Amino acid sequence: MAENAATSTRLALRRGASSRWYGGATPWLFLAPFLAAFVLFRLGPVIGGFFISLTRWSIVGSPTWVGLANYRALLRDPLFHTSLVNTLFFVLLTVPAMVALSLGLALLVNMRLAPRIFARTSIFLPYVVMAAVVGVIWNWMLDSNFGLVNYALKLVGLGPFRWLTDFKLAMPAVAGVTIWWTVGFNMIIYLAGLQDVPRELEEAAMIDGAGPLAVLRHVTLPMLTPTTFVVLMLTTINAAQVFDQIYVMTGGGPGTSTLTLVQYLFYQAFQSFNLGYGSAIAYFVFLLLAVFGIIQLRLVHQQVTS
Amino acid sequence: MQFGAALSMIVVGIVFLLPILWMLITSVKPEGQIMRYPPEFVPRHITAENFASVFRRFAFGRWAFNSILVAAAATLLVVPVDALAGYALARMRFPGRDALYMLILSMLMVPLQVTVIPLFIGFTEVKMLSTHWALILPTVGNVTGVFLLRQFFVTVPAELEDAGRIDGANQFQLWWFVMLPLARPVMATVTIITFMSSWNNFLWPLIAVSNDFTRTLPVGIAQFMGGTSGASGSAPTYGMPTAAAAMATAPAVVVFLAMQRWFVRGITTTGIKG
Amino acid sequence: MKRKTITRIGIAAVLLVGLAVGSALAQAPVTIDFWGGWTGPDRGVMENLVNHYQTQNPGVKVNLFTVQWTPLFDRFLTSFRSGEVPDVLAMHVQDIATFAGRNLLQPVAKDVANAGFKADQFAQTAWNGTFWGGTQYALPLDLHMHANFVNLDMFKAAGLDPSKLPTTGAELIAAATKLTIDQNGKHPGENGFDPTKVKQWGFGINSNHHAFYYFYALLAQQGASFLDPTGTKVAVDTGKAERAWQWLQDLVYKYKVVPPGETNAFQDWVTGRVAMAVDGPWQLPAAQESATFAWSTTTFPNVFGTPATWGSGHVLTLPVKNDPAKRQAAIKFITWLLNNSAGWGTSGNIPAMLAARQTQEFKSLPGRTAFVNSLPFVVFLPDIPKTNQVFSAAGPSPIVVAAQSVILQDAPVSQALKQLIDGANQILATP
Repeated sequence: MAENAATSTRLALRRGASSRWYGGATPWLFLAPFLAAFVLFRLGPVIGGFFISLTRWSIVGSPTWVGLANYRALLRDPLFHTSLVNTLFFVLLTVPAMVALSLGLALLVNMRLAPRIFARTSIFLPYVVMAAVVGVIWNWMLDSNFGLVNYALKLVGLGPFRWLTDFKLAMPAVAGVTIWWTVGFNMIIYLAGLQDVPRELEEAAMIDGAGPLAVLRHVTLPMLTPTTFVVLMLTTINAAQVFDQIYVMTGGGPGTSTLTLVQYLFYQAFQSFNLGYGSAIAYFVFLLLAVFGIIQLRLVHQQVTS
Repeated sequence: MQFGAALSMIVVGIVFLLPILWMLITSVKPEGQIMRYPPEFVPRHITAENFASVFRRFAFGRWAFNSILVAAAATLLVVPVDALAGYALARMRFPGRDALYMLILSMLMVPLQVTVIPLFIGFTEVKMLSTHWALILPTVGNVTGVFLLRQFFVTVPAELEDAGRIDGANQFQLWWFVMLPLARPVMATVTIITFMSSWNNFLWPLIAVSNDFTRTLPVGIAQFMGGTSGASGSAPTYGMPTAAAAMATAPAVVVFLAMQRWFVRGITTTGIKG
Repeated sequence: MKRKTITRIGIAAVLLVGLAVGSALAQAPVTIDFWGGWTGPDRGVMENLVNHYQTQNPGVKVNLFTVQWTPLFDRFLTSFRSGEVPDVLAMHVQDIATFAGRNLLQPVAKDVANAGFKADQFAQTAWNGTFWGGTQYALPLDLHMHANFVNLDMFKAAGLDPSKLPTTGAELIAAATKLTIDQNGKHPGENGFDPTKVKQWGFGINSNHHAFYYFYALLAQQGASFLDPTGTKVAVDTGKAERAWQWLQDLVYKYKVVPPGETNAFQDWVTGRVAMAVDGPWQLPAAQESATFAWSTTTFPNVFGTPATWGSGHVLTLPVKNDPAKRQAAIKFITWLLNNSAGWGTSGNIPAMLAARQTQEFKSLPGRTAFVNSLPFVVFLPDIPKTNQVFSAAGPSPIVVAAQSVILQDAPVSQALKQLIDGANQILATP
């Protein structure tokens, strides 16, 4: 699974202690091992990928230079538009739910009760499962005529729902599976954040007569604001790049209702062997996320540097 | 209220576990009894055949060994390398630092799929395909660890460093003796993240490795993950894939459970939340 | 005396050395890499065949690697840059142009002749499928096509004659109607039939790329084709095309014999929810293992007059490589595999070789009859360099989108058809 972009970005916003000025080689000596790997295995390939996006190439043979033609073609490509809209839809479906749900779960699991280790582990456990396996399990559980979910719903008189074959239900279904798969990671971040909310403040508020809900609203949540922004940024960047679970569950279908940006990238680059065209999509994603990142930075009024 | 909360915890835990339980139950059913409707939660017969089959027919042990080796090596490299870099980015001011930081950050916004072919070309040129290093090294370029550690080091009070400096320590000694011990929880966090990222990697190992000797688990078990019906040719089976999946997930689960305490504390100290 | 002894020792030494070297050369294990896209029970069958071959030929090691066809082809393409090209690559008849068109496959006509294979030893469609642009690039392993899996117990319970399985479109709909039963025992078309409370459906079809394959066969049944003779653009008779899609859509929404939103027709059939289902012979092992009822197969329905069924076939190719020793070993292996393809028949696929189909081993396998009977009527997808793009089984390919639009939605067929034609043409038009 792609590393969690958001965690890192979020942390970048934090204001920290002041640092000392260093001239000379020392900082670079410290940075050298990472920078070597970073340039060789991350920055380099990303730049390489950009050059590929300026060509037409099908992996075998030599690439043909086409300049910005792929980008222009993308702008006119109805499937690209669809994937963009679908990605935004997916982001809207998952991000608010993930943020709210992970907060709720963290609050629940933060209570000093016996089952909290069990709950914490169970909620995080899905995150450890490979995407392909998530696909196998959920394709089966969500089968319209034969799956566990519809069977359970039938017992209470609901359904059957055509989870993965109804043009309108497929994206929500995939969003639901995504939440199961990754909410645990967000929850742990909130959990950590909760550790730093001073108990004294909460207790003081309660002594003043505030009920638990009011404490939540006026003490806990405001102190969690920075965490919330982190989780928000993290979840959004990952949601915009969603791929694995869609690939194994619906392949972009039914029709094009679950076709997302990276799914389309993969289809073009690795299934249709249009490597250049597919790569161009990646840099559009980068552009979108960079714009989003800049907006978020401005909104939050925090600085990257300390 | 307390009882309600405890009950909720248990219910939520079970709900989240349900699909995984279902996977485990399926893995011990004979193949011919898996496709049943209504779905049977309690298997009529239990068999170890699916598990035995995986070992008998495939080099599962070898793949598992490779996955563990690669993930462990990557993690062992990443943690100190990122700790060094994070410290420099946090505590040392030098020309170009902010721009460098933004550059590093921005790489998270590019879908990784586009790096696969350039990496492949690179490794081909130096004739290092199908080696363990080909699988380990790209992970060292991951960015998350640097941020987590950089963020943590920013929160350490300057007095600690100054005290060390007064005692005559140089930069490296400061890092080793003062900073690192404080950073243990964060490093555990980076350990889990890096391990998982390496463990579940599929696309790059698929292309980079062409023999069982170096093959990792996700690619290995894809050989019998049938996917959808009739992808012109193969019928899906469920017994072996779920058995393999159960076994493939286990080591990552062990790492998580082992690091769990540190993990929460790690994020606390990093100040991820605030 | 001394000279003679020395000479004798000398000769003996030379002989010994010669023997040693000779046996070393003879025993030097040749390793060949064999790649295929089988990931289900068929993989198991191929594994057994490969192991069998290695037991019989100790000097050879055959490494079988399988992963789904798409990632397999990705790896195949990248292998040319890394020099780790497989020695034998399996693919489908319609994939040949994609790779031969990029000069990645070796012509095999000479090897075929040397191995003693002749056209009349194989099913004609299978043999013809190994040629592209007049050159033979592959050896035919098997054919697989659509047929109709039938639950005989349900047939009898509905009062139908199990010895007269439906073969035409009309017969199919008639039987399926009797086999679709709601909770009150009513059939579609009867007063009071409730399509939301059906406990048994008569027929099952897939809504993925296979639905396009049904359409493709139905086109051929009307004597029409999808692409023009040059294979560079779509030239389909829209009237016939719409009729083909409409027939499929009507099964779900008009005749109500197919459950709406069906994802996996075969699974629904084998679990006893659906009485008949169209799928390929790769499901035969699962039918044998999991079905708890009496079953048989009949041919894909002839709806429009001329019998035609979608099919494909696995073929074995030799990627371009400069290693004569491995090439020879590869050909030897392929030859053995073809001569033993009756064993491959247990995977469900129908061996292309006539002799294999005539063995007792093959004839005793259940359910193969309908598939074998379909052999003369199999229509393949066009074998053009862009087959994998135009007729891609994955993601938002035009055929998948069209199939899902028609089967999963009761929307006008003409619109889906237009999208299909435009999408296909767009892909064909780009260089």
